[in-house]
Amino acid sequence: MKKFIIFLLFIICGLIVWQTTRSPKDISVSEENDWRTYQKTEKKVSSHPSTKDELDKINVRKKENTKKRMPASKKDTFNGRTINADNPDKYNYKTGNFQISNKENPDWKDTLASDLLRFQDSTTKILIKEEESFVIIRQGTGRLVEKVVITYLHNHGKKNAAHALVDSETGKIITIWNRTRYENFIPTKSGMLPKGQI
Amino acid sequence: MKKNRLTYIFMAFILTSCLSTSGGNKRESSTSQITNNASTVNAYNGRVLRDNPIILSGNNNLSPTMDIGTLLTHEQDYITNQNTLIGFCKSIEDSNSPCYRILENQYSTPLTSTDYKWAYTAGTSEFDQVHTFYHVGKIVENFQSNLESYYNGVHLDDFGFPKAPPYTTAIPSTLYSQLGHWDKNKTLEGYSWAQVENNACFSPTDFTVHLGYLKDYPSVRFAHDPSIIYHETGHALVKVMMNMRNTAYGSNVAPIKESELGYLQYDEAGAINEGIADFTAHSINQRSRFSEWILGILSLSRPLSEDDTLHIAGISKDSTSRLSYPTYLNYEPNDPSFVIEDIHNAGMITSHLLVAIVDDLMSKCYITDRNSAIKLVFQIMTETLSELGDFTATGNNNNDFTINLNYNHSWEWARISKPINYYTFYQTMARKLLTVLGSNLRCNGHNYSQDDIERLFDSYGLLLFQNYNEDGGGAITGHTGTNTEVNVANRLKSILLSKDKVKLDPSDGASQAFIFDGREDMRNALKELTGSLQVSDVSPFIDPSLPYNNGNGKISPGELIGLALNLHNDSNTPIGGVHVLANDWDHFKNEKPCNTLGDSFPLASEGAADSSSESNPSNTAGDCNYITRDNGDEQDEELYPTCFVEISEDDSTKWVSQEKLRQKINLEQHKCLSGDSSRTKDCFLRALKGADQAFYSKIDPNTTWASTLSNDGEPPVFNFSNIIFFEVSEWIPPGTTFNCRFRVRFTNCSDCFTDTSRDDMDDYLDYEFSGAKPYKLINLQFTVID
Ligand SMILES: [Zn+2]
Repeated sequence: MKKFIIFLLFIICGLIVWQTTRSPKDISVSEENDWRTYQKTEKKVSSHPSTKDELDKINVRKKENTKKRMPASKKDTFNGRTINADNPDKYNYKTGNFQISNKENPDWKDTLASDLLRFQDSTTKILIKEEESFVIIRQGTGRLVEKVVITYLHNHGKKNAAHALVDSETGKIITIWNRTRYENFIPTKSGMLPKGQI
Repeated sequence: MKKNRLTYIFMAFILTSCLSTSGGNKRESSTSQITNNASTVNAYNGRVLRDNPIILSGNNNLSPTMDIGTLLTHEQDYITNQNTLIGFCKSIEDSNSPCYRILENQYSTPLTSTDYKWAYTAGTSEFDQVHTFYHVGKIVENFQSNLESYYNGVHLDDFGFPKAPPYTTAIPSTLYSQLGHWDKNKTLEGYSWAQVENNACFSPTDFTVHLGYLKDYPSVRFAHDPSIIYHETGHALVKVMMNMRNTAYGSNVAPIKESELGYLQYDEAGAINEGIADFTAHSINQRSRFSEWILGILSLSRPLSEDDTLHIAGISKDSTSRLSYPTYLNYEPNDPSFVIEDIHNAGMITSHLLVAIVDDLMSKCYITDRNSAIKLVFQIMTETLSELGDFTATGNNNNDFTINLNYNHSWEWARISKPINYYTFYQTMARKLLTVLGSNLRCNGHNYSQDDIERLFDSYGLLLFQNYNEDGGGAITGHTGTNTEVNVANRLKSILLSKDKVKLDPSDGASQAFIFDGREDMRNALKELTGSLQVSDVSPFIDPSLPYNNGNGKISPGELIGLALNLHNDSNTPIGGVHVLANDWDHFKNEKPCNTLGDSFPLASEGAADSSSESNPSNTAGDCNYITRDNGDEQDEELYPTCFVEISEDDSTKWVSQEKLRQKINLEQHKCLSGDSSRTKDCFLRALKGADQAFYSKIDPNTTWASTLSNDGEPPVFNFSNIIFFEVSEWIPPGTTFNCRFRVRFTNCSDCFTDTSRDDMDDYLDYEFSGAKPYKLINLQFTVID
């Protein structure tokens, strides 16, 4: 019995140590699965679940560590989507008493990806991460929208990221914000000279 | 938390018995050099460069390859009582999701210290991480403690219970309960060895600061200059301040999008952001120069005050010799003969004024501790940015106040219709100074008077507003309050000019606009604009190889073109912040262009909409004399593209909408540039959203922007922020003539923000920025030819 108690204590201590010292990476598995990488090949856009190397490049580890911080108030949802309404009283969104103008389309992300790669060369990759799904209700009509993080990995090592709202049916970007801003302390010469005039 | 710490302490106890030092590559120390390792510091301590090498050594001519280890002293620096480089803020105390954290770079795992000691050989990655952590912590902790004491003064009584704020405030009462005092979800992460060459950046999507290295001296890290750490962290603070009201508004109604200060390569909001970031460095080191070390090596240091010796002769703290707007927008003190359009240079006017406000508060409010005055300026700045960045459109706790039009269009207002510039920022800041410090002896037992504010702002050429606009921009309430009027006797240096002073170059034979249509140029532009996410919606009819682009300098069917107006300043005073808009606006009625908007174009015989029976102003939606209150969303109101087109009709030519041309040539709807049969308004000529506006920093008197920005007689290279990009449909019949009715304004303008037709000189209401009144209209006509 005594031996068993010592063994049990040993196991419990071990579990506590494991629980409190595991690296942030361990929490990241489910997050990593949310990412997808897209790249242009000869004629089409190919995609795969983002690799660890690609995720490392855009600092995914950080995001896992941000999951737990949420303010006290909870958000209302509709079919698993966060409701965003400008006038919650008037349109009684909690009961689903509104129309929805678009449909969910499982291919929205592929459309988005090929749009984003249209003007890039084949060395550019993009990574798309779904952050949150919304139904945005305005004047009694809802629109299904995805909030994503888009990250371009350019071949010269530079990355450009931004948040975007994307239509859940068409995959078209509605708005972009939070673009990465490089200081370029040494001014770049990336301008143009006119070819003609009016 | 508790469990974590106990385990760490237990493990530290076990591990310290077998490890004498932790990490770091050992390096030979000179006899005089401090040995910086675990055996020479106490727990929780380490050693950092408390300032940059120039300041620590007192030698302005240090070699970039000098050994920074020689600058360490025996004194230790408190780092943290955690076993990894994380810091907490109020209500953000979870070690898995802390307030801030430092790593070597974005790929690396956190540095841990089992013995809780943070001393590493200078020059190692471990040292730089600890050093960066120390300085980021200084900024974050200063900001948070100042914010909390300000919040408490505004929202809590002496017993800590909620109270009614003593004045109108933009700081929401729910700031802490909704985590609006920081990023709601994210840890600020700093990378001391980011793999960016000659560069640093703040990335708002993941709330990260990247500190790079010098290309020519890769061991010289940007982090070695704490000013750069403060500057980049300052950008993160700007993001927090601008989104306080958005975050704290409440869950299901909180805006999804976040506010930004600056959208383009050059715009005044971006310049203000840079100025605030430089001032953030001053808030810690209180010096008159930014980045003596890193930017010094690049000959790009920036002064923060007129008495800095880097300035050219003639600039001084005398009220007539300040670094004033718009004169010094393109000024590069390291090479004064060189003219440059860059947000960092233009931002110096902001950093100088912020430092000058600190000086003035110390003087007028008898504040002896400079730090206290700096804190006051940060509080005023928080009020200012929190209000201006508000996408809920409420702005502050005055229910009659409105900003950024309304909840649905606030993002568009902030981006293009009424973005933050040197007018809006300083008008708001002046109002906040007056509200917070102008009465009730709140400035250290004194009042910082309206005259004090106006005289100082005027010495910077920034007394650009005519009243303080306390009643905001709401359609219903925006003219109902009493606004404090500026004392005109205080406006000595701030010269306001009529919007009519900006025009197309009137000289003989001068071009009206520059055209960019080279295939390679435009392919690169498209790659850059989309690859940096400035532009995302490009017509499906624009082939990525741009086969129609012929580089002949003319506008041809199927091309993607850039266009820059050849703008001229028709006055004897420089104008600043010239902004050209090519977004959709309210200038049509029933598919016909209105001619009641100030440009008297087109004539009725040329196809103008009939407005003869309208009252002016009209209360009937749809009329030419009615301006949409909801950016075209109300019934009978619609926005139209900037460009419209001429068609032949009944033996004459008429100006009509692009949709009318589509109908006339029977083009199928889905062949319109949008590729969407329901979007045919911009069927033939469409400004790329995101590149549908252009900024020009300054135009000198009686000349053009191009000659203002010319160096050594060479024409300037146009940046993307100087160019508006248009898609040109391949279906346009050659020979078709377009008219683009651009709206143009500038910052030191007497009638671009103030409604001078009103006796009280109140500001235009927000909705009026959907129309023509606040702008100079510039019509540009061109014929599309093969
Ligand atoms: Zn900056």
